[in-house]
Amino acid sequence: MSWQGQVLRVNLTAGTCEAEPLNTKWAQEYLGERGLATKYLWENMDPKADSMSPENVLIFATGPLTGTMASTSGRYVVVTKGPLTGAIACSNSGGKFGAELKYAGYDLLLIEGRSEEPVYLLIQDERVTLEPADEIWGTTVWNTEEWIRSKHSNPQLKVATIGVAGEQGVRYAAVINDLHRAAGRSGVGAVMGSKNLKAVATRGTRGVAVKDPVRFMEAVNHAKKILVDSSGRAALTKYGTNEMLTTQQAFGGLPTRNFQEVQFEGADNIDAAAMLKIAEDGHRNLVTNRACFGCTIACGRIAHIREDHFTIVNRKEYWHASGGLEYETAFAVGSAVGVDDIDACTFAGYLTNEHGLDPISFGVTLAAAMELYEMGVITKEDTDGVELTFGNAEALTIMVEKTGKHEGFGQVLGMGSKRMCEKYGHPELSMSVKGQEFAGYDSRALQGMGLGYATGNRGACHLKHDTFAEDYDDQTGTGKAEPCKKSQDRQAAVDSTGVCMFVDWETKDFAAQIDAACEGNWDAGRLIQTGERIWNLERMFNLAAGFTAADDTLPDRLLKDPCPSGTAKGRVNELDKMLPEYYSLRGWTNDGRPTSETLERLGLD
Amino acid sequence: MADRRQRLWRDWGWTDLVQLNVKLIGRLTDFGRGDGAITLPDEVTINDVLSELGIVQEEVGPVSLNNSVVSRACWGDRTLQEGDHLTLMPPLKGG
Repeated sequence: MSWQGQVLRVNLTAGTCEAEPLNTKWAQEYLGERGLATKYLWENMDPKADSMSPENVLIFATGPLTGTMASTSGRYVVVTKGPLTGAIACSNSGGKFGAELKYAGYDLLLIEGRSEEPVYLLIQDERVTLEPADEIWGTTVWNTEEWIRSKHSNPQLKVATIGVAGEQGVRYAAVINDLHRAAGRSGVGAVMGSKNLKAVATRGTRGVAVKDPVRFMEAVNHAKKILVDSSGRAALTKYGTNEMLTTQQAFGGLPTRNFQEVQFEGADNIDAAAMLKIAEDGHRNLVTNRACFGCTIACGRIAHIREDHFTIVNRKEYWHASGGLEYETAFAVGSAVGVDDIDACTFAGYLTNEHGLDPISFGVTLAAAMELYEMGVITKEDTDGVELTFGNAEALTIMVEKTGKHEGFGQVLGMGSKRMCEKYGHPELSMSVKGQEFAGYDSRALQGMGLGYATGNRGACHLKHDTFAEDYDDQTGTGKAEPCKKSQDRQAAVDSTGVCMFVDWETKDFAAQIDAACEGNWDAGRLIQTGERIWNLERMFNLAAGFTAADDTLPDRLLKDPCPSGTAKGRVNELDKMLPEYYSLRGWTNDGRPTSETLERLGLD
Repeated sequence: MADRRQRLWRDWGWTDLVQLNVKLIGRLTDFGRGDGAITLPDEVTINDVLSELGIVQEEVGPVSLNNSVVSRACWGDRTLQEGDHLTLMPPLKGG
């Protein structure tokens, strides 16, 4: 129980939709969501396949706790081979879609092949159909969601969809569900577009069952009490994730102007306090906060742009409240591009949701383009006449729209920073690992973050490890490899449960809920070993796809250019010290391959 | 406020005082009596400052002293000097 016991396999080439039994052996080994989807990907495709080809497999996966009474149980994940990196992609999202897919009766939705014509997938419990999407192909995320609900006269349908960016193969196109929530990273939306699949709409009425309801509710209530009493939870509710911007500004880890600097003089204008500030005329950027399914944190932001702001003064369709700035968006369309206009940043955030873009990769790619422009490598002739200088808020909003619609210079930005910088002969300006752009942390100030970036299976990523405590305590590379490895394993397990990483529970608190909900005996040790197995399987996928240890690196800017200010002034990232220790702790060879003993220990041989 | 507290410390017999500049970041501004200039007896430690401000250690992440990170292990024995700038930040994780 807790698992629904079914996988929905959709072959878009053949036009078939068939439910099949969940492989329960794999569920015991990989739990669910990220882990189970990784195993199904590994078993169902050749890692060498082109990410945009019909041979790539796209998986939507829930976890065993998704849709249950557990707090924050609305999570699902999209796993595929990512077009931004060529590595395994694993993008996690909240909202309500994941729980609805589970209620329809499916642990995983596995999509193969490519449809000849644009379609969307309609899942209503056991009734599953592929529907023509001609009328919504070429439209935005927001229009698509509304159109599908209207078409089926069912406001209860939960929709995950792509915008034009996904249709046109923007390398960091996202899958957006519930209007504002994103499986954002690595271009999972572009894979969906390559399959001519516009959207998945689902409504489920089957509910979920757990193994031991009484014990499960005891474990759930205990975990909820932890959240209630947590001051960190209270701060997330009040400030959202954008409190981080103020902290990184003070610490000196806030990437600014394409990571040339680590502190931004305009930070006070776009941080969480700025969102809360009430202007003389009564306007406040933040309207309210919002929770995902089953969430008792509610970190989501709903914001409002001044109606007389240049971005929307003549566009009344944006006068409504919509998804507001979260930290990664605020950094990427704020400090990374040198823009401190909160309404322009909020508008850029709106458009990344509306058109289905990863705001991190968009912002960091635009930052690289701005540096190229200021160096004179590209000119107005390349940028459709736009003066692409750092700090130009109008340029930001023009370019996010062009990228979302795949028009003009937006097509170049849609390549991602690695391909774009290579095109213009300056690959060193791409702030990325394995082709995926950095999140909002400079790894000269946060050394363990740099190791996590370099070894990230989906490329640069801040969500798959947690070395913040160690990075805040010491700014050398010493003592970072072990917490990086351990937290990667733990996070892989957490990402496989179906709940949010923000719960901040101890591993035993997760285990108590899993053990009461699922078959098998689950404790903290088993969860951690499951996470390690998942991490190594992701690594094997990447090795099979052609990646090597040489890809576990950082740009020279972070390895050679001293940090210009802040607490880490003068430092560079000490990856050369951390990486060999990390490989050793992982049980990998010096060239980053799991040894036969490691594979055998994890049951991966 | 600073002058009144300074008189208070002197009334209690402390004659050697130091003035510190304390900056609170994010949620820490919601705790205690706020930041700015603060006068305390000399040989004061970072933990003493936290106590004075009404902030428990677990609520604090990175601490920088004159723009250098101070390890948590040193908060109890690192004495502060006249004019030191202390920045206290919340223990935020990514997301």
